[in-house]
Amino acid sequence: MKLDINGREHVVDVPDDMPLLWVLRDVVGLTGTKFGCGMAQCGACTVHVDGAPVRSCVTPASALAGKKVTTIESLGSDGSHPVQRAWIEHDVVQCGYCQSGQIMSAVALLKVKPKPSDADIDAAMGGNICRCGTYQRIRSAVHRAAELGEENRHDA
Amino acid sequence: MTRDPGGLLQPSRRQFLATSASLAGGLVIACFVPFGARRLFAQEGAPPAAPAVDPNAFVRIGSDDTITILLKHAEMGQGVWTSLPMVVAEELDCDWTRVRVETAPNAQVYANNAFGIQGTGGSTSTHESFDQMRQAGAMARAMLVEAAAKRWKVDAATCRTENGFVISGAHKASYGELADAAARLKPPQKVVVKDPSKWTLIGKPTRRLDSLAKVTGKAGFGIDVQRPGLLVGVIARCPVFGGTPKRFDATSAKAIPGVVDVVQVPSGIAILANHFWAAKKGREALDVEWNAGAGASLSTPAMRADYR
Repeated sequence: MKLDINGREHVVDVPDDMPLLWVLRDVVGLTGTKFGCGMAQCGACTVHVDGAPVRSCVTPASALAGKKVTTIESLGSDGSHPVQRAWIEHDVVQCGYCQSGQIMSAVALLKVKPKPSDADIDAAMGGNICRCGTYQRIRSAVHRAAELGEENRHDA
Repeated sequence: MTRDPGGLLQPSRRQFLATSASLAGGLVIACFVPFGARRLFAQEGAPPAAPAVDPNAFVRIGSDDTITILLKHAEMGQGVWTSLPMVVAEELDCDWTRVRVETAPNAQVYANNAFGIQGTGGSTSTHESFDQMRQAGAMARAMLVEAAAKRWKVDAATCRTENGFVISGAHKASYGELADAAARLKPPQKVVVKDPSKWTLIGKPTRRLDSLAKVTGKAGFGIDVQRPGLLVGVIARCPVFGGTPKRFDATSAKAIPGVVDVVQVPSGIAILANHFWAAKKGREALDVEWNAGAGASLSTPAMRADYR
């Protein structure tokens, strides 16, 4: 099957029921997306499909024909995306295992709500579990990312 | 202890520590060693290795002035990827913005001084290696100073260090310029570390050095290790602790596309596959029967009776 991942077409030979997560990690080699629970309960595997956050561990790859898949790797490796910058400024990460998913959820939220309230953040991020308990910093960093995003728009 | 089905019951913490210490590297202690383990070991006659300080093992200085700290502890979110390099950098007087961190390889010099073997856990990282990291930084600094003094034919006592440079009178050289010459010197036997009142980095809020890797998806966790030809394995285990396979038939598991092999391992039956999904489906398809063993009769009432 053909998959559009981060703007590149990938032709993969995988079973129809194989979740996108394992196609990304074990077939395409994009390991930034993490395996947490395998049952859509923790959010570590969050990626975007056509811009909306989905749990890749329960999304069959065969359902993604003609859709655009976006992963943490699409944000770039220099940390310059507003959400990455905010995360670094606020020292959000601890062990870091859930953070790819946290960041992808935050990016999706800011796309639909460029200036989210605390309640918006809690609602949008509620499905992303952090064992280290970085929730307070995540919330501050989402607000900061909103500011940085606004600066970027003004600059543009 | 009246019975120990399948080795289920744990020895006491004290026995555990004594045993672990005497295994001399045969066991990796990931956790379970409480604060104060170092003292415990000493009391029980199995002293940890003396803090070996080889500055070359912990600090690498590139000719481009990059300072690489080799971190002997695993970063699990506790911040040692930043805090221990800060300790080295404090004594080294280097430019903090040029500090990079690498995970140290497997070698005795990287042993946890509280455990005697390489390992991170029990909140030991900072307290077991704080002095050692100061020594490593101070030794590296002393070697850079010695190299500079030799080059300039001045007394080392006239040299001072500042933000990655050695300075003496009108002479000034960056650590990178001196690194090759310093590396050929013998590490000094003894160095004096800074008085805490002189610290400029330790104790100062400092941004984490592991953030960039973790916000870009580049940080390497155990599950992310990739090697040419690497397979994924999942293990079918007996549902009762201590049980063993009675019989298994790999035919249906091997019929799952992507499953490469099915092998018995000490903890159960391993399904090896080209990717996790095949391995998981192979495990679901595996035909296996278990000898539950002594653990099958273990119950809450039986355990209560044992405790009494």
